[in-house]
Amino acid sequence: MLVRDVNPYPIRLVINFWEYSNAQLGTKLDELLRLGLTHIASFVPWQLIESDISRSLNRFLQAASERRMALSLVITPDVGVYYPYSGLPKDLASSTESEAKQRAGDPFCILLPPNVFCLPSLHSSHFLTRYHSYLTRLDSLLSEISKAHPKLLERVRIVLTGSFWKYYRSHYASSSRAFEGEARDFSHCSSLLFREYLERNYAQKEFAELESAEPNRWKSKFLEKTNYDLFSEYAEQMFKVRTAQFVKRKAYTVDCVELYTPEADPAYSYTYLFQTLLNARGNLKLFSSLLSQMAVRKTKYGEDNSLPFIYWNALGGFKNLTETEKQFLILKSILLMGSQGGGIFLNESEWFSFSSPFRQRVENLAKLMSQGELSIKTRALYLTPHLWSVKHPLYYELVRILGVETRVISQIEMLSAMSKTMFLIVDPAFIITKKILDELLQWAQAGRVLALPRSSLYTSFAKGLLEHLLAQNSSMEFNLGLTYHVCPLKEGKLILYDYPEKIHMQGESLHALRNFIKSLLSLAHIEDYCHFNDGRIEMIPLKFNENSMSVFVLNDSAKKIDSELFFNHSVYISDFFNALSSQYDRESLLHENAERFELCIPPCGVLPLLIEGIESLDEAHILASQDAEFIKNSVHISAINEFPGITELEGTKSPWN
Amino acid sequence: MELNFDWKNFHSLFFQSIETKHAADSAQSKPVFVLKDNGFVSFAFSEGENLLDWVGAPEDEIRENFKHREIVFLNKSTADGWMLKSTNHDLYYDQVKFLKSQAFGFLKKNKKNLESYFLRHFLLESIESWWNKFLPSSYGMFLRFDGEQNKDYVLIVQKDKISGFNEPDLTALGVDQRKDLAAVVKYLSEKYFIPVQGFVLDYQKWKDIASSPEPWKKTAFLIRSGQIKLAPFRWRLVFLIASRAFLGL
Repeated sequence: MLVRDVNPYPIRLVINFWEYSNAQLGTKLDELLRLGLTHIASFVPWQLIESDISRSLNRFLQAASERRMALSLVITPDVGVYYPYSGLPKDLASSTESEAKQRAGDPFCILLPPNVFCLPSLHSSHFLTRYHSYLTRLDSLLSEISKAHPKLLERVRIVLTGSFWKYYRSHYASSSRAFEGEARDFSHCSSLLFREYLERNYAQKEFAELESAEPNRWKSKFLEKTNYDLFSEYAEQMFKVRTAQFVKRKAYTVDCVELYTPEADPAYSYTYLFQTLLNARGNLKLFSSLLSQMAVRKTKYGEDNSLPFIYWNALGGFKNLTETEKQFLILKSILLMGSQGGGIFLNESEWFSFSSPFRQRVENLAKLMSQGELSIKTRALYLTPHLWSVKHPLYYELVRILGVETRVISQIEMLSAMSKTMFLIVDPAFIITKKILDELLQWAQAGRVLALPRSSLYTSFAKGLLEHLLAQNSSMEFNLGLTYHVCPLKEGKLILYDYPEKIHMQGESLHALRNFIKSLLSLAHIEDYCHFNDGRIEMIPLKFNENSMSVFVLNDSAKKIDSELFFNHSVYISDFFNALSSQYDRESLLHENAERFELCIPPCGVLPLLIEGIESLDEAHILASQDAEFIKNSVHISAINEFPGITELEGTKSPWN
Repeated sequence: MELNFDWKNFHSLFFQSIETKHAADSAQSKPVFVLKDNGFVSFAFSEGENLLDWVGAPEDEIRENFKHREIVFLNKSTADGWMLKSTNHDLYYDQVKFLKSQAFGFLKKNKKNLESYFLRHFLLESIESWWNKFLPSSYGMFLRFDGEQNKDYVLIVQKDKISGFNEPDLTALGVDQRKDLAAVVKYLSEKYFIPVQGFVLDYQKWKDIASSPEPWKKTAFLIRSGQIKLAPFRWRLVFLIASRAFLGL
């Protein structure tokens, strides 16, 4: 059995405890216990903590503890909470001075019940002061409870979420494509902090231009967009770090979560406006594409990697979907997020409105994920200055080819947890310092492929390091789409690519870009496991145990799709859920050993396949690199131990070249 | 805003029941709504279709493509303004009402015959009509549904506006008293300090009435045949229902 740190609760059912009186709460929890639920989640509305005299949170903790139920409490302000102003204090939420602003000066409206409101600015000092005092108050409340009743908090997990940052996007820009457009707060307080950030950041020695005609080029207008991206990323990380500091002083169990509510996404705002006006049905395709885009983004919360969760609060567009469409989204959410250690938050009444067989199926998947038996691989990384503002064509093409096995990151520190990923491409707008370059090269030299842009965004120190490296190793030039140089980097490869200032996403330019990405993936030994002959189909390939692979085939359209599935070599496929059952007779369920299969995917359908006999080139490459690294280290240690006078083997030529 | 508005169940009772009016229409017959900005499409919507590929296209192009359908153009800034102004209201119901009234007014001004897409529930429409001249300034309606959905709800109206909707907490009453409609109505009247009118009907009947072309007439017949029970039986209310049902007032 695999032992690793996995999320024990991929499905977190939400109960809004403030909606129940004392007696009703007890009855409700008893009912949930009878239905087999032993773990529940709830948001803690900020407004409630500031103004609640009935101590409803205490009552809730007491009631849950009496029934030995585990509890996840989400304490950070987030969208979709069923409380006025999503739990924010009314004066903060309705204050125009603390509002976050779009470029044109309009606020960001969230259209979800229980009331439409505008997002506050997380840069506002007034907001942050109030927020920190709320955290302090909550902390002292929990401490009081813990002193009076030590066992009350035994089964409680504190959940910290990423808050509003990802929703600072214009409705208009997001309407054309999920997560399109810059995610930025243009409020006055944000602008002031941005100027301070520029001065502070570029006062560092790293940015001292040794020989340059433009000593202040880092603060120039030309780099304004990149600097705003860096500032937004920095501000978000500081918010998370300070939040975590408040909570982690005490010995709570803390889950750091990137919680995403698709119903509140700016991309869905206009759709939801018209659905509300016309009593119209929900848009499954839009929700589906939002999920896919969110799944490839990986965030950090201070020192920890965030667990990705989707929250379907079912008060917005979700409630206007058909039963089949809802089931499709729930399955897709758990497949994408649960396989990365995250999961879903869902209102308990919504969960129990689904049929029992469906719930059983989702629970089985969640159980496998909580035991670490079903997980998604990250085969390629994309490093961007700001996670919520990625819009480079390179990124879109990478995701188009590799789908949900791509991961976008914005923090270089996340690389240490990505040892099984063999390829990373750096966004051309990323500013590269010597420290960043060092870390990237260290990561790449263990048999990985690193693609760096040949841009003007290197500091003098980083440029010096790169030039020194290139001088020591010969490189080869290629032109497959774009011009790039390949340079050996111990066991790995460094690719320096030339990216034109403007590239059209159509015709010859698009074709060139695609060839370029494919050639890079080929260098990293990353190839398709399989492919369909129909572009409407989406695949979620998951690693099942150590030796098998499951592929979930998704059709988010309203029509059934007949398609063919092609593999590079013969494999066996069977139904994934049948394969899990204890009466599984493998021989009888396996389809013929073949390279090509005809499949029919129903409308809003998820076809679960178990594939056996699949070989992955990059997986073999990972193992070979790891073995090579291990053997090399062993040889070095033996040489140091056995041969007197040898202390370090630095500078000696590697026998593996 | 008070915490006594259960939007989810309110939406289910008063909105979803009338959503089926245009569900059977083909996608090609449904109107297209376009938000435009400086001659380009910012957003396009038609129920059951994904028109997001039109974002960024010139206005003339989409107009030409959908010339055989009803197409409504609205400035994006106008739609943004509606969303922002809706925040001046507290209750979500009032915010939605505001948005609908703005949209309805826009369509009327532009002579677009699309009223059927903006229908409101017959009960809500009546409560907010001239009925308020005959009804108390504050009152409640207790709705008890039998059949597939055994649920109780109370709707509070204050100063001619809907101010609350939720499942009432009847735990203070004994089990037998909770079954007695008159006892429940009396309890709620004393709890909220307002007169409360109780209704009991089958949930399926509720849905049938909402989708009927003459909902008040149907309601009147169901009251007469005893399929809708009133507690207490108030002649003033029955008169209002009859005037709507048979005189069309």
